Amino acid sequence: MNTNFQIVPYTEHGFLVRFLGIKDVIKTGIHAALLAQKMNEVSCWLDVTPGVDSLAARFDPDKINYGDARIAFEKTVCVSIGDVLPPPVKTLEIPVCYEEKYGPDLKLLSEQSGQSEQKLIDLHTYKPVRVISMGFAPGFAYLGSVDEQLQLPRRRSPRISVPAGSVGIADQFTGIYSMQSPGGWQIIGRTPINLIIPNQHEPFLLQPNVEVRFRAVDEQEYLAIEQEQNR
Amino acid sequence: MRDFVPSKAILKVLSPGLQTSLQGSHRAGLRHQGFPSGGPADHLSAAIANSLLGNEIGATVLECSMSGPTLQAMGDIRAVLSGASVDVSVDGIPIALDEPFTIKKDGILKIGACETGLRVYLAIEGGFVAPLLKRAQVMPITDRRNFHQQILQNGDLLMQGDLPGAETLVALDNNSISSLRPSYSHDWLLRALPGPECPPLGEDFRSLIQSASFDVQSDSNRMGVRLMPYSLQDNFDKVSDLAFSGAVYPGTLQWPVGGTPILLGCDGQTTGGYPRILQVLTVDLPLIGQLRPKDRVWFQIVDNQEAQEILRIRTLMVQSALPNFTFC
Repeated sequence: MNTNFQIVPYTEHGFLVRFLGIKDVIKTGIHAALLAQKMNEVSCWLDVTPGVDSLAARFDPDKINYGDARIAFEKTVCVSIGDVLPPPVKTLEIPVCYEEKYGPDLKLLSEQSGQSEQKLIDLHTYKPVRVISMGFAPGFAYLGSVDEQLQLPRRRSPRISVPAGSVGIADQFTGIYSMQSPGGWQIIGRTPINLIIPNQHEPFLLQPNVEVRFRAVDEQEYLAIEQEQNR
Repeated sequence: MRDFVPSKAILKVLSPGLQTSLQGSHRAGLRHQGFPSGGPADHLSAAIANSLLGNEIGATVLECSMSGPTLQAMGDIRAVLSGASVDVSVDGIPIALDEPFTIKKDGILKIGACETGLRVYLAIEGGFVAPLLKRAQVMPITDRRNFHQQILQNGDLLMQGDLPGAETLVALDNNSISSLRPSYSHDWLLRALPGPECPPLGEDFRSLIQSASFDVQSDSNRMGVRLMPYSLQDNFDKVSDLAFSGAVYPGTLQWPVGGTPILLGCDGQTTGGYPRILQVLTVDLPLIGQLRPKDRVWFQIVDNQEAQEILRIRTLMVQSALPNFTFC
């Protein structure tokens, strides 16, 4: 792989690798997520958590010592990040209501970017985005990348509670809160679709490398879909 | 709870307490899907409670936070409580922590308000049975709006399991328990490693962090503990938000620029974008579950090699009493 990387200790039984000089962050992020899935099958790793430009793993000190784990980690990372992105697993359409009640930060984004709210909604819906990785909370998906004019940094201080289904923006990413939780992303809308499917072997609607197209809906349609979902 | 088969019910909730929930052993290997570790916030106390009854150390327990529940037995039952100091009674007679006791059918177990420490664990012989999500043990996904909210309610019936006991029942006495677990107070020293975004660890930064104290804020929960720095200027000039979100763990101290530091707990998110300044040692993670609002926290920074040694030695020591226990 062409990407440089840097490995640092993270916890007393784990490591973090940062990928440096990334040309295509979406591609790197998806590769990291796919690598995490693969490493997770290896028993010496207790857990493997992909970031977008990083990946962290903790080893089981009962199964491998620090020095050997460090070598194994570097080897795996070195050979696993490829250049070619596999085609999307599937394509999904996700309805989003962008009205202020559901997307309280859209106005701010409009003021900061000088674009009308409608223009920003168009920008969020016209281009398909890809699920980079799952993380933060069960079923939460990082997707990207969004149009430059939509990019807005995280909030200075996170909200204590963000409703389930909220669609947020953080820099070049857009994400969907799968459940009510604290959160620091700028919220521009909300989907009525449940990202968590109860009692299934694969309980999440989204997974790395799924393609998503957002579709704007009004409140009436939002409520109708929500009712349908929860029937 | 609401789905339980009544015929197996063993305890009825007369008053649910402030935030009481069933907690099984933590989930491993699902962080890449966004699943937090979960499990008892102080899994060492939960393991001690189970062990005192001869249960597997990871058997499902009832976690009582701050102010405990009142429960009525629906049959004779052996139980034990371990964790935060709290007044407990059965039919009005006081019960000591860390000592198994019996509740007769129709007897009433009253768990009061925790005085030092935040959480106390009720284990019963055979363990509780909690609804299972196939791949995630005890975080039941019932509705996207109350994912974390499996909090006991009035009238809930708790089910008793029929789990095999631990292979070796190790006798725990009060001396060995106090050597496994520090006594709780309102002041806590947590040992920590520098996190990935920790500023260069010169003497300045080290003494700055180590001399500061932090007040536990009331808007804290199993996901995270908000810590208000006391007598510390927020001068992390070199630290900025991460360009992209990255892995965080229980024990990660995230410090948003200009914001309040958050020490992540057992239900904390798996990735985040705020600078990761410190990482609490794995052996000190159970203490995070006992931090209560208004308690005061100090950090002591140790280096990685020392931390590995502490983990090795503490694990050996705890395993001499709780053979299958792991901090990781």
